[in-house]
Amino acid sequence: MLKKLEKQIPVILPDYTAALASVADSEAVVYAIDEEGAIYRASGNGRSREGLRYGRIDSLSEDLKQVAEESGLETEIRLDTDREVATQKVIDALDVLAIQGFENVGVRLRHREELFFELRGGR
Amino acid sequence: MPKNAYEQDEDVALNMSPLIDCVFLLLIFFLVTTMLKKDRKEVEHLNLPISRSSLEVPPDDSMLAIAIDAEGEVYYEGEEITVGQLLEELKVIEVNDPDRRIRLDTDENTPFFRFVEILDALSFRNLRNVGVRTYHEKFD
Repeated sequence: MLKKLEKQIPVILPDYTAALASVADSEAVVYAIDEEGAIYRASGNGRSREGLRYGRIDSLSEDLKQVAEESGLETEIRLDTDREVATQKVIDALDVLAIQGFENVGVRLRHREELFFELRGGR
Repeated sequence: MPKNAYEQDEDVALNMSPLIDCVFLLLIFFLVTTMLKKDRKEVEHLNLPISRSSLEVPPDDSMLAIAIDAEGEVYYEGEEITVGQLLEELKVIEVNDPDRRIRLDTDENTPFFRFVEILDALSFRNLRNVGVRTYHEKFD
């Protein structure tokens, strides 16, 4: 019998002690995905949820090109996602980030309104 | 003196037709009977997410398969399980084989918080050799 190959996305899990960190680096460029999969970019103080203002963007790849030109590919990218968003939407966004060459990517999930789950270097 | 019978057959040739027939019969036999190895740990009703940047990896029979369907139900080696039971199972793996490869199968519509909960459980048990399976055009 032939053995079939699989496609996988390797995941780098955070240390558990850091998983519930509620404070993020202010240097990170923050994007967000809502339940319908629309992409937003945050502006304002990245250190707190309250300090962020999200503005909808039309194209993540175009926006990332601009980030790459301004700050380089080493820039930390944070992806805040809605709890109920479909996994495919998050993978699509991570795909765009990977194709653009960003490797310092973290995914953060709003957890029970108060806490955040954070995946550092999520790819 | 009798003539050598073989001397008369100067243009002796092997008849290739039966040989070719046999080769084709064998070829058809293998084409019909060969099938792709089925993964018994697989949850059938998952629509795997599509990714353009995932890596192609060879399967590993010792790999642990955890799946989450579109409704958020969790499966351990193909059997439905609760998150509490999963944590108990992972505890055994943490003790016996902490470097074991773990494959996380999700549906494209799996709620992301459920996906993160399972990653959280793996992280809690210090199991870090994790890959998220995505759709393969040839084999899925």
